[in-house]
Amino acid sequence: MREYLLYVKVGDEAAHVYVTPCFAVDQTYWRERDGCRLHVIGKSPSLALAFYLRGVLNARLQGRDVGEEDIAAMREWALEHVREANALYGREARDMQPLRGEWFLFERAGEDAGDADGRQADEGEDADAGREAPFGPGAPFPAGALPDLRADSERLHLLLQGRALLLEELDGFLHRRGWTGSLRRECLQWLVLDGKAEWRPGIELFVRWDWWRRRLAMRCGRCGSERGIALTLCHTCGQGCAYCTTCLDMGRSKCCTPYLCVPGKRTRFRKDSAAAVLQWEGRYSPMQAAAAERARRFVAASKPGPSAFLMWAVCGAGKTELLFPAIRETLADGGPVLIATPRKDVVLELAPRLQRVFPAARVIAVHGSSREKWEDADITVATTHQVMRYYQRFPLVVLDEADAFPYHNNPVLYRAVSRAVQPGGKTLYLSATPPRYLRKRLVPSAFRFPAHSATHVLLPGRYHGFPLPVPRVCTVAALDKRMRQGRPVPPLLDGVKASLAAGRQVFVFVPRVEDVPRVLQYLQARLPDHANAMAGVHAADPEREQKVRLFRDKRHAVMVTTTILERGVTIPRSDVIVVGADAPVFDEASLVQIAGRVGRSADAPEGTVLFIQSHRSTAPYAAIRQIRRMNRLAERLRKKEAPSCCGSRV
Amino acid sequence: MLREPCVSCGGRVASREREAAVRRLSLTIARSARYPAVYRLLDGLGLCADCLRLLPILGERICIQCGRDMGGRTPSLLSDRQKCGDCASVRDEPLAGNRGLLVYNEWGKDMLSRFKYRGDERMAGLFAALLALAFYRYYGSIRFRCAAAVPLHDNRLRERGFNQVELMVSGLGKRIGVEVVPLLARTRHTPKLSRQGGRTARQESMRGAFEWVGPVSCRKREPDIVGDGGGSDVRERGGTLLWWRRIGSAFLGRRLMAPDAILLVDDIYTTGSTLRACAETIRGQVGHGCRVYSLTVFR
Ligand SMILES: [Zn+2]
Ligand SMILES: [Zn+2]
Repeated sequence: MREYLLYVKVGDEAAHVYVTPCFAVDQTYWRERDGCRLHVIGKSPSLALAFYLRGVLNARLQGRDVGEEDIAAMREWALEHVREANALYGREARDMQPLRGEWFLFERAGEDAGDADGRQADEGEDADAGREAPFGPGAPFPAGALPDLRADSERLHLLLQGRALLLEELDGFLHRRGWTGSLRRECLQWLVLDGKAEWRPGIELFVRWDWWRRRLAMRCGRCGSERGIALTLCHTCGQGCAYCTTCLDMGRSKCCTPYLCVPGKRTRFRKDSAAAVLQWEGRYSPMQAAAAERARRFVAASKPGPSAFLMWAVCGAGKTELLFPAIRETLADGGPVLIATPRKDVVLELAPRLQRVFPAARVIAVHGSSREKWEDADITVATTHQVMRYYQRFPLVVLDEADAFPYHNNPVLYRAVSRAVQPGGKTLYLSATPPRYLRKRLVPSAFRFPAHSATHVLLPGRYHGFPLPVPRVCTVAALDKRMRQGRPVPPLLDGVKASLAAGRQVFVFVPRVEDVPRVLQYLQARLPDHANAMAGVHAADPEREQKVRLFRDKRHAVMVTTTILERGVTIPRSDVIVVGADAPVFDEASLVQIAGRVGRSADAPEGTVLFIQSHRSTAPYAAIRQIRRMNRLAERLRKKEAPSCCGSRV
Repeated sequence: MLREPCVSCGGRVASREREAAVRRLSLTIARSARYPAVYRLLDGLGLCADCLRLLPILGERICIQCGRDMGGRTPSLLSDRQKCGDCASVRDEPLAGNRGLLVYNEWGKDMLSRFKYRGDERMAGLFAALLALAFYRYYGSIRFRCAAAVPLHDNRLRERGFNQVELMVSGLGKRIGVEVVPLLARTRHTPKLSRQGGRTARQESMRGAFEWVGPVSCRKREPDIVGDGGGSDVRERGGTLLWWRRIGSAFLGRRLMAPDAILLVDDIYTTGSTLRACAETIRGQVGHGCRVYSLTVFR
């Protein structure tokens, strides 16, 4: 069972309370700095409690001068707070029984030791150590081991820079990186005291006023969420404990698991960085070139410039290529780049592509089961969850599909991304359908759609220069009932038939998982000639990847799907039909994305998009308005920017 | 309660098809007076209609010893036709029998690892309900003196923070109205099952891996019966049971009470060596007249 010691440091500076897992290191550290004395307040097996006490005691100290007599008062305070925390936790955990008598154990340092307790003494200290009951300072760190401790801490610091890890992950990480030092805990504490690392419990405790009474509040130190924290009868610490269910996929963040954040290096200028060689054969259209240059300028701008930038590019505008100059710029400055994207398949596809155009840079793909997860690299392509494991590491973070799940209404991942950026670093948002708050923040006037500003650039046209296909809307009364009874739905059947006759593939989007088999059966029954060439897929489908592959290989001609295929999958000659476009899952952004599946390749830029609804609803029309607006803007830009070379296409 | 997304696939739980699926499953599991309880358990399972339909429930033809599905398998010809080959070869079987509810397939593997290794303790309710279903399907007529979980070694427990089986069994106890008593402790840190050699090697390594920590007077004294149950029917059951036991101990004495049966719970029965070792320890302490039945989610 680990124990955490709480002590107050009194010296020239304001008194401050610290938590330590190995007091000997703290003693050694502070001994080197003259004129400070350490007084032990107490110890507890609960990490969260120790940090809570540290917080409240520091708040009560408020930089006041602390005399010897105040120490006793502080121990009293600590006890009071422990009693309160016990009562409050007990109220939350009504159906559980504490494992060790009390929810939070706290052992106060003995009064009899008096002011000698924990005193940073001179030569006579070792002799005194014995009588300092119940737990005096103990032996400080052996002086002989001190150089080792310093050197190991330095090495550990180099390894950990820019990472945020639970202590349990640290073992695996250090093993993988070939760390052999033995004084892991001591080194970490040394770094913490040196201000090179921060640590806190995975779940932090607070006590708040909740209307008329005090209430125990908990917050995940990793993902920052306060909801979804579940109490647990923990056998690891034997204390009142809780874990976070929001970021559970990344390992359990618990009250008793230390969470370690090590900021990255601020500056690492090596102007001649070899990694910054861009080998790309492609060419930009004039519109693309202008947008890429704006993104590059945003990245290159010196510190007091804007810290966030929105690249608003329609589906099929060639967003990835537009990033190259900005990435090159950052690499030339010697800074690593992070590209975060919501989907693992995008990560797997993007990493080799970037490796090809930046042959000298080290590119890694980081996702849950990735082998390269713990490596360092110039360009890191990661799923959004993995971003949580970085801390102030990257001068440039690119957030791909900033509107997509799981960012959608998810403050947790926004927080993770903002933590991964170095202080003063830049964040570049990419989106075809930026959510309102992002537009509000970064687009100066949301109504007039300016083509660019200091914080955004709008790319309304596709890379091949053809306009976006504009969807059609059909209203079929009682659509659900018709399909259930097997009665014909002419727009759907005619649409599918026409596409198949033209040798094109069809996406049929449905709102709910249970609609997938129903619509599939309906189509198979109604179009028996093509029944074998139809398939349905949803998020939890175990054969999902295989089915999508068959669809890509043109082995399936019709794919009935939920919104999971709304982005990412691009099929050259395909059409789209949305059945039940009035369902709430299909909002404006989602419908624009779906329509964006069509006509993406230069040799087949046209295609049809059909929204079938049973009631008149606003989203389909809003989506159409948005698509039309983009087409108009693209037309205008093309005329304005390149009157002479309107035919220039990549 | 059903507002929560499906525990397995994250889909919508409340739907028209779900009721039919619940009814069909209830009929598979219980055709008797247990039907209402089974229906309620299935209805509260937190799985959507699709996932309910995909539940790999064991078939009707099972090995009477270990509860394995004998659907396509020819029973061992050498011995008792109702036992599977593995069970037929075991001599001095300390387990009175084992029953499970589900086949251990990919789905089960995924769900169990989410609970056990990823540490999503919210899954405990699902597994407890599955155990309760298995209980009603097979053990509904046996009167158990108490239920106990297969313990984890202290080191493992500290590492993981919780014993998944203990969480399951406390939920089960509330649902079926049987008192949960910790009876065993693991004294030896046995390596992971999958990493061990053959069946006999596994059996050997398990021998003496458990030690009795239950009440000393367990042989003589009736353990106090359940405080509060989950639902009203459970409480009523517990109440009448308590009453009968009081009568029993007051007038007839322990000996004439229903024969001792203890319910041993684990998450999965692979070779049965763990459960057998537990049963041996229990019988060694309580006496060989005691019958130890085991119940697992997966078989
Ligand atoms: Zn969290
Ligand atoms: Zn804990």
